[in-house]
Amino acid sequence: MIITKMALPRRTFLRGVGATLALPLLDGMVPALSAMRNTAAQPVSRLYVGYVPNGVIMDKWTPAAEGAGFELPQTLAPLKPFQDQLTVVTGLESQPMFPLPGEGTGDHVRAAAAFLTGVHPKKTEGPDIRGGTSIDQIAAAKFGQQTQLASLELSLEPNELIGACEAGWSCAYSNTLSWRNPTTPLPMENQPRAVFERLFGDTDDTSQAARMARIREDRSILDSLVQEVGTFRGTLGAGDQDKVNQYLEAIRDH
Amino acid sequence: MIIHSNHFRSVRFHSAGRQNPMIRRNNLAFVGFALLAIGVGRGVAQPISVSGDDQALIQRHCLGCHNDRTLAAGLSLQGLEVQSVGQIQGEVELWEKVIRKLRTRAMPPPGRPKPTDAEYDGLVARMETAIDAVAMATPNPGRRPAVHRLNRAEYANAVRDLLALEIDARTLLPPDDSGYGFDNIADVLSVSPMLTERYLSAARKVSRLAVGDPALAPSTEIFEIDKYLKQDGRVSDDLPFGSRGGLAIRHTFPVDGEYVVKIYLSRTYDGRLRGLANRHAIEVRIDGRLVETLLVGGPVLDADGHEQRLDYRNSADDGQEVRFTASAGPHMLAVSFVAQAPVPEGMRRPHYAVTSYEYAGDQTLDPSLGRVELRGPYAVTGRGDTPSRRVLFTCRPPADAAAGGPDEAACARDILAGLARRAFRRPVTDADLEMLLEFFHLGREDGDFDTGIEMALRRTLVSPDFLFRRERDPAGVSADTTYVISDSELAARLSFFLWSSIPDDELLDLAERGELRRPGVLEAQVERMLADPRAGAIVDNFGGQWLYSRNMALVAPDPYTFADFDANLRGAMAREMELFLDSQMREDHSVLELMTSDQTFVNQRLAEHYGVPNVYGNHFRRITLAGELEPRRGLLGKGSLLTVTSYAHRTSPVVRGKWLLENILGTPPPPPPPDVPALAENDDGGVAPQSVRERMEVHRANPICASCHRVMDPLGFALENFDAIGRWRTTSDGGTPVDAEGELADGTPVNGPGSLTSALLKRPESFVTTVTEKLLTYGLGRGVEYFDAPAVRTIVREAADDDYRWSALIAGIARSVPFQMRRGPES
Repeated sequence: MIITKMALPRRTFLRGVGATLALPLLDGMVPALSAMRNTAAQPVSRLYVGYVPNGVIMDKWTPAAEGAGFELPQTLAPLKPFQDQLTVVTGLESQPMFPLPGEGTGDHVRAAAAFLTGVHPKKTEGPDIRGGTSIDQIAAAKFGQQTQLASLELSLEPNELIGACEAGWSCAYSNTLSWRNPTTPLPMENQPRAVFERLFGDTDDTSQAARMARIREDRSILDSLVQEVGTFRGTLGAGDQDKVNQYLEAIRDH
Repeated sequence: MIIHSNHFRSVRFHSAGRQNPMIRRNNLAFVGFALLAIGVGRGVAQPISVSGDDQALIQRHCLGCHNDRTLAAGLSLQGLEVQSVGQIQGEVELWEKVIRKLRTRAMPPPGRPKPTDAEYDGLVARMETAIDAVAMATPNPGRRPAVHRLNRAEYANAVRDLLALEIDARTLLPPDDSGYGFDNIADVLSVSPMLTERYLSAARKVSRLAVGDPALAPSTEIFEIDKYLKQDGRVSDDLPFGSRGGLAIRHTFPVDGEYVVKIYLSRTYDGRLRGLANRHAIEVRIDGRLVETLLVGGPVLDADGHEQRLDYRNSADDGQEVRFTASAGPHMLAVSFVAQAPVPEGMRRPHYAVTSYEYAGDQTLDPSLGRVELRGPYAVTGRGDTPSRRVLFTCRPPADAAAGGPDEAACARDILAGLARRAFRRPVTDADLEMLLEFFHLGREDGDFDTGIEMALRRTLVSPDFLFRRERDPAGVSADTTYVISDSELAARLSFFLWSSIPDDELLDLAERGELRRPGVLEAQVERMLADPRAGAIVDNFGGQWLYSRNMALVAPDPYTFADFDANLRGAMAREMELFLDSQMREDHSVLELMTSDQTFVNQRLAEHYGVPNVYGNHFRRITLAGELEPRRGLLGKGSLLTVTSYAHRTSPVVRGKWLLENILGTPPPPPPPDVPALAENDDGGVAPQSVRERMEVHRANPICASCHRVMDPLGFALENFDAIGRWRTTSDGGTPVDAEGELADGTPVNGPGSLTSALLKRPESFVTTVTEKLLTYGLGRGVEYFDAPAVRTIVREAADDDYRWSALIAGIARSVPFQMRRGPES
């Protein structure tokens, strides 16, 4: 498997590689995810979150008793081989999903927005949406170094509804589960092909040589971009820099 | 009777709203005399400035509820003097709200005594004049954000115009969030890491497709056909006459080479193929030319010449593929069955709806196409001669030029200078060219001249100067100053407004020479741009969102209730709306005709749905709606609008009423109160079925509900003859005759769509104002605010002289203060 992330912080790496075009693999930059690291003794942690929109039948999901050695309920029966690694947690009812006094309809929208953020979203149909940073993005920020991509946000259906999805609530709230920060909902990818291409490139050739060439090209573009966007941003007033900051951050983190 | 303030204090405003009509009439008489006296000297009958009499009017009709104690809807007019309207900045927003309520006659609410039409119009006109006069002296153009990301549609159009390359942006980029009903609102268009990755990936794909990559490895494009498309006749204008079903798709072939088209037939729900007892022929065509005919099904002769019925249930489409040579560039790929004569007389085919369970299981029906896969390129022979290569390579280095040497660099510089100017929408600097040449050399190293250009193109497409629209403040401006935006910023605003794309060379040239604002030039450009095919973007993007047409692809009418709602009908409704809007704008009709036009476009499927006789064939043609079809005139009769404002299983007069309030009258209702229980549905058990209207009696019975529903519901009831998929009906869900009668908030009686349209257009400027506000939101990329009201009024007023034509409104917007100017930044 090809490793693209280095053990050093990305920014250091970017600065170091900046002017050169070849990809140096120095000793000090042993890939974090090399065969040495990712062994049974020290596996890389990953966080997976799945959302089941119509819910589950709770009494067939929740074990009858607390503690270890519980009887697997019917819905969870297929997980029997992994039962010794499984913990079912109760008491997680999401309070922020419930309407505030006088708030009215909006259950679907609130549920999606509060699910991973734990924050009651701001009721608006306009551009001033506000949620919270979702736990998957917090995890991505902390552990994303260890994997090729920090985070993948995937959905089964395209979410492209326009306007207000429930009276008074913008569709931006129900189009995603994942929030980079309170004002930036992240779009969700629903095309498997696109995800494949993010991971392995968009040609048939996933050989090391091809991928290294691609990484080299990407790096040059990104370095040049970081510079240009920085200059671009410098010409903007403080109040106008927000969008460009997002772009700059996203490039730097790439 | 002498009018002075003492008198007014003695007129008590009861909470019941009753007042002494005697006093009122007398006041009016005196007011009239006083007004006349003022007016005589000027020779006009109406006074033009707000006076104490207007204050009296407001006190009489408004203060009973809108005072500091009662504070109806959180609004108090107590202590405010309407004579000072426009002069106290902090009050303007409030007065604009008042003006809107008065213009639309929404206030005083039903049940309260209302002023006369003359009083309404006079007061509003005077208030508006006062505010507009102040706005003329100190305009407030608002402030568009300095940075505005291109949305997905704009990115695709920019690539098309830059490189003569059609791309499917939906596969390359994620959808954009929307605000104020549109997806081109600057504040809402943020950037995420995923989007950045997609831009990088899209740039690579687009540049490779534009230049051509001889080292391209084969891949597979999959074209799925909607399983609810009924394939029993010709389904596209791009398919030949005599064809049945299938699909036609315009695809850009990346390089000269060999390609394979593989065909999969559609299957029943348990995975079996259909209709293979007989032989069927499938034609594969490129640009209309027959490449090959494939045969599926039918009996096969065995070695002894006996007919052998093979079990085709799963395998008849194995190996159904065609290999052919194609040149690089856009081609029309068409795959369809050859229509065969129907079965001999005496054998009737069952007629099923495509959404039905029976259809899903019946193997004996004719086969249909499930999906087409295009694989390739194989055996690549070259980059080819494509439109994008012709546009991009404006010069060629001499054949003997050294790799990366001065001759190549000079030609690269030429190419990149032209490219960058159009991509960045501004004059190109040396720094830009240095940067792009660096990437040319990077790409040149591992390839040839063309790969060098490809690399530089890739870098161009991720530059912030391409992906974002910039508006710069001149030096030294603050939030108190307003300035006229630069010519190149104006050119970009125009092209993104009218074309959803980058400015073309003519606009860029005019802007660079500083001639865009010369007298007559701006108007001429607007006219040219509206006549250009690229103006179709307004229909797609403005119309598609304002009229919710984009939701047509997403609605899901209940297949049990509306079994005949197939993909053919869905597509036909969407196409009708497109063609209708396009004809209205291109033929420069009055915007009022959106509501009243007797023209529309149908094909056979839609005509059957609407009850229009004698329309045959899949192609669309213009018809006139007369006689029985009169109720279908205008937007309110369009299947698309009627379907997207309904639920899956029934109509919703409330949703339709709300849509009309928001998008036609410009007076959106407030949100519902919490804990409103769901309306009882007809199969809730035990009760005889009722019409939707009957079930909504609670809206009227309960006074808390009535305040808003009295305004919303009658609008929707008037459209109850159109069911949830826009079919005309005279019987309701409850089996009773449809009752489309009602009374609007201002007391106008309506009965059915025709009278509703007339009522909505009673004060035509209301509708025109709403359209203008929507267009302005779309054109500015920000929500319209109270301080834009003077500009909107100017636009509407000036357009009145031209019958409110589309061109007049659009030109008015292009000339307006918010479009031409900008406020400085907050410090």
